[in-house]
Amino acid sequence: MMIILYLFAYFSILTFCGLVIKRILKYKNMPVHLRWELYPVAHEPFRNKYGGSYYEEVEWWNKKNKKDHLAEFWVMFEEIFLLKGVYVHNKKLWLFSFPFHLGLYLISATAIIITCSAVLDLSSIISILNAQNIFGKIILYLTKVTAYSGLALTFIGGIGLLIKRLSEKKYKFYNTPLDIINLLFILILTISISATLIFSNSSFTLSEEFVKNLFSFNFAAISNKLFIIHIVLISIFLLYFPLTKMMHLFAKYFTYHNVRWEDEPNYKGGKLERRIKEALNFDIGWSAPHVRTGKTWAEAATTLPPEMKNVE
Amino acid sequence: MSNNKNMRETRYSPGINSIKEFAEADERLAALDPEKYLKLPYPYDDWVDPPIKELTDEQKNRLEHSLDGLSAVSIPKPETSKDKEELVAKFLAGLKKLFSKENNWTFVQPFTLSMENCMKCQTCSDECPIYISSGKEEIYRPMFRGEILRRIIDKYLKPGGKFFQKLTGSEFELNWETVARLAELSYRCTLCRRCAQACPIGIDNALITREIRVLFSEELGIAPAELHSAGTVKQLKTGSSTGTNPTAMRDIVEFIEEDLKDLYDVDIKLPVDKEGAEILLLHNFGEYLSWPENIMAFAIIFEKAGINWTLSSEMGAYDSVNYGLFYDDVQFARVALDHVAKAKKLGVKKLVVSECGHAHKSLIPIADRILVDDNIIFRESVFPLLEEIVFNGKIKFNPKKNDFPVTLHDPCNIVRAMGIVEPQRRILRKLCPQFIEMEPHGVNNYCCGGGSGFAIFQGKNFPEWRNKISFRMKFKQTLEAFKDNIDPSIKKYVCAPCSNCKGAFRDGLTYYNAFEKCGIIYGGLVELIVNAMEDMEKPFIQWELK
Repeated sequence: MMIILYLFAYFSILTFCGLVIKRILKYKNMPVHLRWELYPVAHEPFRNKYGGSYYEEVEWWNKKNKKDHLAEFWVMFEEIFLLKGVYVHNKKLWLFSFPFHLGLYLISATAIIITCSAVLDLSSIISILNAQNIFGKIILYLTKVTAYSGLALTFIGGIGLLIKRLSEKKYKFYNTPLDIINLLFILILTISISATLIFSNSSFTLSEEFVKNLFSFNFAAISNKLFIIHIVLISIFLLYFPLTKMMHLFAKYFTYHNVRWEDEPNYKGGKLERRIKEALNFDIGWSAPHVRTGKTWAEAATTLPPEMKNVE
Repeated sequence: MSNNKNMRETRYSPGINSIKEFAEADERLAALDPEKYLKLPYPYDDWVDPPIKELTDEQKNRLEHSLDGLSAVSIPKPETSKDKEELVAKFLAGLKKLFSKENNWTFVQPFTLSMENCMKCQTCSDECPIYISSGKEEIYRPMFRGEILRRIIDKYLKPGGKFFQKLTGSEFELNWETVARLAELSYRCTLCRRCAQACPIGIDNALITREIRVLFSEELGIAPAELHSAGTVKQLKTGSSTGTNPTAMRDIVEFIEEDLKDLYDVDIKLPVDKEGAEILLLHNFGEYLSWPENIMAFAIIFEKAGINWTLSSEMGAYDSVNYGLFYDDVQFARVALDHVAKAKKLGVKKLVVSECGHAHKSLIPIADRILVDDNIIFRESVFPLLEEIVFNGKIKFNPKKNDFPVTLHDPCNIVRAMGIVEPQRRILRKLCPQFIEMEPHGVNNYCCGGGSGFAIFQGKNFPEWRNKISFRMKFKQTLEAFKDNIDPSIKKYVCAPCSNCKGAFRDGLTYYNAFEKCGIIYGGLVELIVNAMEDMEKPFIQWELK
């Protein structure tokens, strides 16, 4: 029976990774698109402070187009970890959205620490969480702080978001059952993780052991029923997550880097020009008569239908 | 009072109460109650807008208008159930194509990202001037269109969609009314992208709106006449969306030269088709017809600055307009390629776009991704060049000539979409001692309300909607910028360096009677530059609302 639990865990982890990679590749491999940036563009040196661009210069193509990657990194940091955009434009939501997201990051960090500890212990390098020295105790203490504060923040934020969704007209109008299920699922998970930590896994021993078993294909029995429920719930969540809009976690990279901040000019003979040429050779299948379906984009754009031909 | 109340109760529908009603409601979906519109500051604090006039009975019988009582797209009501089914089937076919890289490589990546990742946090809502100005009309909420589209996709395009319809909130039948309302709704957004700028995830509701327009145009052949038949089609056929042919263009240039002499004692021959010119200056042809003083001002500045420039009388090279940007990628590409071909023919070093926002965006960044090989020519905005001219000392200026309150409207396509923010400001700070910024300004500006083609929509009751709703936020900003000088005896100037924005200001300021009530006029940037020239004997700016 226990092997089914392990197999389910493997299946959910692999499916999660597979679907996340699939989604990332889907976005990454899309063809070049027409430019659609929005200013400020974070990597624009100096001018990013007020939203300026290299188009503010005469003969911009003769100037060196440098990028300020540090500024771009800082804006991403503020967006990801502080939810600055929500803070600036929607403070009432930020009050709950920020703790909710920060809590999720802290829970994820805890999971990463547990996984690293398990891997290092398996490799006989060091047992981070179970080390008996002062270093191990500090790490264990900090991990507990990370886990409990993460759970508390996620729970408080999640409850707040749920109340807002269910009570305010602007959210209620657009709610679907799935929107509510997503939040409820996360709240249930925080309860299950908290219960496990409080009652049977206070030093992450069960978690670390389970991860080690996963890595070493050791399907050892787990006697704690609460922990089994916890594993089942997390496995289901891993399967569910990639099917939901929670994938915005990964999509956000592309909306910023490939759209909002994508200001690469097209020069003759460059890589970008090659990608544009590829796209111009796609066949058009739109049906409106003026489009001239069946031609490539390049042909459709350069051969006018009779009603559009010059009359001079 | 009770009569008014009764009239209000009978006239205004309660608005939409659920997503399902978008497909199933029999009556109009938006209330559009003037009492709920955004309040304007003094001296418009007691201003009462009359209701937007109804379509005629004939129009109502013939055209779909159940969204909000307007008909921007003029979709005829289908006569038979077969016609209705065909409309729905074509819509679904087009919706699939929006997600295909072959059909929609132009925007498939940003569109897919926006469709798949909206968390409905409503951060975008308060950024939308139309939504706010209308009194928060639900159907004008920026994410409303996208949400309708998502639910249609969930139910009709995804596997198991009908089975899971309760979970995805898609429990409505897609009918022709939904399709037609969606088409209309895509023309209640100016594509200003303020909502996209505020979105923490980077969802672009304006792009979703644009792609709905693309679907209707490229798959169903449905688009407003002002953009398509009288827009891009006319432009490709005659050389200009105004229908002006090259002969007429040359005649108009001659008239402008005569006016320069008569009105300002300036004797300049405007260079047309000049061989060996360094710059081809491309105007929106609306300037020649509605604001010829803008053409004159450019000529004066360029001649005095010793710029080697020319205009072109080649068909397609004297009108920078490209309405394809607003609704159809194929038409966009055709017009942009025509512009480039004509510039190449003239052999100029670079193509410079004058005061027109959408022409800036069309020809400089957007067209950048359809030009290859020898079609890659240098294209730039005129604003940095004007800044260079104003600051290089060749022309002497006397800022005292511009000693009146001036504020600046930032055209979305030039500022938020291209990042050209400071050159025009540095000019105004130097030449206009009473320059006042609007709030918010720069990349956070509000749209003039005429964006995405609205400035040229003159049919039926649409101009009323534009003046009362989509221009309203900009008018509020303008009044607030001039609040310390609002008396009509103090003449004030809104610098709106974009043809479409000027069109929106012209109609909006006229509707609000703003010149008589507040002394406000509008115009371009170059008019202020010429007005401040030391050696211009006559004032260049005429204090009248044109």
